Amino acid sequence: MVEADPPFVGLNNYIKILWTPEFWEEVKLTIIWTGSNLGLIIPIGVLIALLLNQEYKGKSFFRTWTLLPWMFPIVVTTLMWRWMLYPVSGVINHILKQIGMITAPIEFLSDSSIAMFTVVLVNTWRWTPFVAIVILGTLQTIPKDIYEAATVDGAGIFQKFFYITLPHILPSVIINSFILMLWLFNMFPPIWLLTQGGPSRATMTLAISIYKKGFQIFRMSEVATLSIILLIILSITTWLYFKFVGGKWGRLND
Amino acid sequence: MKMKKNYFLILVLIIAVIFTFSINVLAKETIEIWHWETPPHRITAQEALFSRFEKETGIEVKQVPINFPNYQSKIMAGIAANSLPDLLLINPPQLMDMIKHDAIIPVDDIFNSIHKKYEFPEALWTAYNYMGKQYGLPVYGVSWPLTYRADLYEEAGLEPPKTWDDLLEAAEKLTMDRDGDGETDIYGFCLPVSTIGNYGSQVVWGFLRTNDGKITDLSSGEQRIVFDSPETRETYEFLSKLAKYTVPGAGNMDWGMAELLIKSGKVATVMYNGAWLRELDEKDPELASKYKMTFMPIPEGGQRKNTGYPRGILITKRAEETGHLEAVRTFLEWLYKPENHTEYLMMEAGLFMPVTKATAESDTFNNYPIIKKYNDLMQVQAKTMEYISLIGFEGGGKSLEAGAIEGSFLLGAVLQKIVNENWSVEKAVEWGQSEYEKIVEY
Amino acid sequence: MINRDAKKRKFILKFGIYLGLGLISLIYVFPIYWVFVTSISGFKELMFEPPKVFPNAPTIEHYIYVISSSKYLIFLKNSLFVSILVSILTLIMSVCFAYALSNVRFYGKYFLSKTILMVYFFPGILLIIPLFQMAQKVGLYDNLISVVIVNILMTLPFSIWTLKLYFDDIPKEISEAAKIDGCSRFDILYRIFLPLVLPGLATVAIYSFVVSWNDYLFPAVLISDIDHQTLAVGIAGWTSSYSINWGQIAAASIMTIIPIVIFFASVGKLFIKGLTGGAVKG
Repeated sequence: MVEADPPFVGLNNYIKILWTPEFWEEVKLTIIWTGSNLGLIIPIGVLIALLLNQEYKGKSFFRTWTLLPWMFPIVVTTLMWRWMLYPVSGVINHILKQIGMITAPIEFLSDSSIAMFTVVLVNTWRWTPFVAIVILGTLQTIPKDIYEAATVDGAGIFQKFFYITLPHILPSVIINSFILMLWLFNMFPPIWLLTQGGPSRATMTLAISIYKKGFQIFRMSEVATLSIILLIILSITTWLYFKFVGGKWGRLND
Repeated sequence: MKMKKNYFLILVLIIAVIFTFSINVLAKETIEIWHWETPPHRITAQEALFSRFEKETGIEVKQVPINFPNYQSKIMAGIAANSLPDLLLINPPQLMDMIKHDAIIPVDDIFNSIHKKYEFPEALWTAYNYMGKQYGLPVYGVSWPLTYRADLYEEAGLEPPKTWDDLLEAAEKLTMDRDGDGETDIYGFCLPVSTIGNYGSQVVWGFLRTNDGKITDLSSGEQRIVFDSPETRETYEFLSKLAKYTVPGAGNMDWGMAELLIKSGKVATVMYNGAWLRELDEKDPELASKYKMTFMPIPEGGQRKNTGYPRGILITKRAEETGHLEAVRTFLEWLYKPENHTEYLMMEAGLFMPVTKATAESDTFNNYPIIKKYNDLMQVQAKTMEYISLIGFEGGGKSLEAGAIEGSFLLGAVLQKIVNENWSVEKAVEWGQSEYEKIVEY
Repeated sequence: MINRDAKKRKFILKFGIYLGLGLISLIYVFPIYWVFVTSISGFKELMFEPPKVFPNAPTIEHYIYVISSSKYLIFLKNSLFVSILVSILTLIMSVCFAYALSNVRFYGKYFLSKTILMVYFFPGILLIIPLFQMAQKVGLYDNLISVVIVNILMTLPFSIWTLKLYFDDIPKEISEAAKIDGCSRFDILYRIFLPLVLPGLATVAIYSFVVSWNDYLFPAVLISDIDHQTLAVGIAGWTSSYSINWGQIAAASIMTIIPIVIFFASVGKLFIKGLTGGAVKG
């Protein structure tokens, strides 16, 4: 745990960890988890923001309602999701069966080949509203008269989107994708509460592995090593991202 | 501008008021206890009990309920910052970590004085004995006997399972479609093939121990991992057969989900404790009366063993440093009086089992309505406590790594390899052996 | 003719918007709705009958239990204290920081704006032990102020970057013109910039409020007295491994989000104000 006088071991700990296949498996799963979440959350979030930004009746009602998943305490939503996705008495399997889409219940969280997929979907459900509200805020600052001028010039919906809306929200999308990536990379609660890294290590990301190592089998020095490795990975990613994506597309380096 | 200034003043005032409130002015002696009994009814029950103690003795007991997932990390933080409370609720395997970090003190005199008066059964107090010193007192027991639907067994003409073969037969026969809509609605057995929480590993442990399988062996004085043995392989061989008749969703099964199955009457046999009893008795007494409990089934040539915990209270070194030992002694002497102890156990009636003979035989306990009503279930649960086997304590000594060995949930992980990933039993058990060795060597 | 075409197009667009909104609401709100149904269902309806869209005999027993027999009101008070303080302080600090990053020239700006993101480089769980020790040393252990401070640390980097982008969008000529007119820095920020970035302020306020409202880890570690605990941790305590009471948990969580919904509805008005702000800018 916390040793009083730990021996100096040089880089041994790092070599030991980089040598184990489990570590690389966890890195792979972390990248799958982060990537697929980002790939779903950002586009869907932007789409919802665009929808919410239109003129229609019941604006504030829809805005509040779509944001609810992000506002609910995660401990409760994950518990509810586990029950809803449960093959025996879960409502989702029940509905799918009623409308004739399946005959045998789907083991959403207990089948190791689809557990990661399920966890990603639940997390997407939780985080898209957040992206939506951030982008919605940015959309609000686009002056209306630009659109009016474009309409007079005969621009269609898609032209307006690509020439006015997108350039305006791009910096925000880019920086938020990046911050969200950092969060996702280290995200602990959703996976922990849904599967604890199982079944058969199918959802064992680095954050889960660090927790298990630190607080279930008490290998604190391994945890320290892993977090330094994380720090290095994320520092390099940050540097690359701002150099190649942020500056060029997002005007983030001014 | 004037308005703005007012707002600012109010804000400062609010902060100042909250600061003054958070400074505690304490005149009386206070002892602190950490525990993980966080559901509201348990907190309220303990509050009532502790305030009665304060009225009688003038000593305040401050309870700090910590959500179970954070319990371990908070204790570790407490050790690192030297700020543990006076008393800690604990599971036996974590006892070894506390000893390893020199965070607790032996309490032989307190233990002896309480033991003389109320008598702890040997199987329970020895869990807190290390190298001849008593490091804590069992405070309540939880055991996981075989729970089954007696009505379904009777209908199918089956006896409650006594051997592994009986259980396999029952699991097969009782996985059935009762209402005739072409879908299974009762499942023969609930075998958690999971590593979410310790349910999966505890169930495997129960079967492993009835077949005399072990993880550690300390009989030679040195710790060896003896997981890879014929007994272990037989056990996993049997469990892989049993897994065919288990409930769907076994890969994500934990205590909570299994309890859902019991409360909805969807499972015929399951290894579980009495946690469902209180709510089910209140809401659906008819179903509650259908459940019976029995001992774990035993293989040929096996032994009677059971999984469970005598949960205990430890006294920290910090209690000694802060001079709280006398108050702690007063509190414990008071707590173990049968009527007080019964009140403590009844914060989760039906689940928490007495750990002293005096409480178990006392009228207050036995006349408590729910205990009286389900006396047969209580008897079995209490009886199985005597056959409890603890992970890391099985090999003729106590492994100092018991906490990590249990916390690794490897027993469940090995079962997953066999059932989900189609590994051969030999290969999976060999893998388990090497993983356990890594944990011990670390 | 043209008029009719335009009308048709407008109708299709409207239809599409409502269809999209309906679909999203359905997918996103269904699980929440299910929590609500659970919270008003009796035991037998939850356990035995196949799931129903609405319970046959709705009950409010769980809500009564939450208010009368638990520490809900105490938790609520603590959570409000933390979240309101966090969102106010985050707003003030991030406005200053973002304004400096966007409009003031100083050495190390490029490096600084990236390093503030380092807070997000570690899983929060790694901070448990150091934070616990620090809180003990400075005497803020078991004090909600420590939860406020840590939460501000976690919400600041995102808030700063969000506001920085809003400030970057404001044309430089505006502030230069104001400077010539003799406005001080504070006046420029307060009178000219802030009204233009109201949607940004609303985003930051909502973000920091919700994050601190739902923060589980830090109060769980830094608070010990049950009467100082926040709602997120308190509710989590109901979900112990045994004897889970689904109805009560659902009722408690519905009551947890009601304050956030109220907060959002009131802050959401800033978005509408932001619309006019945007028009001024162009």
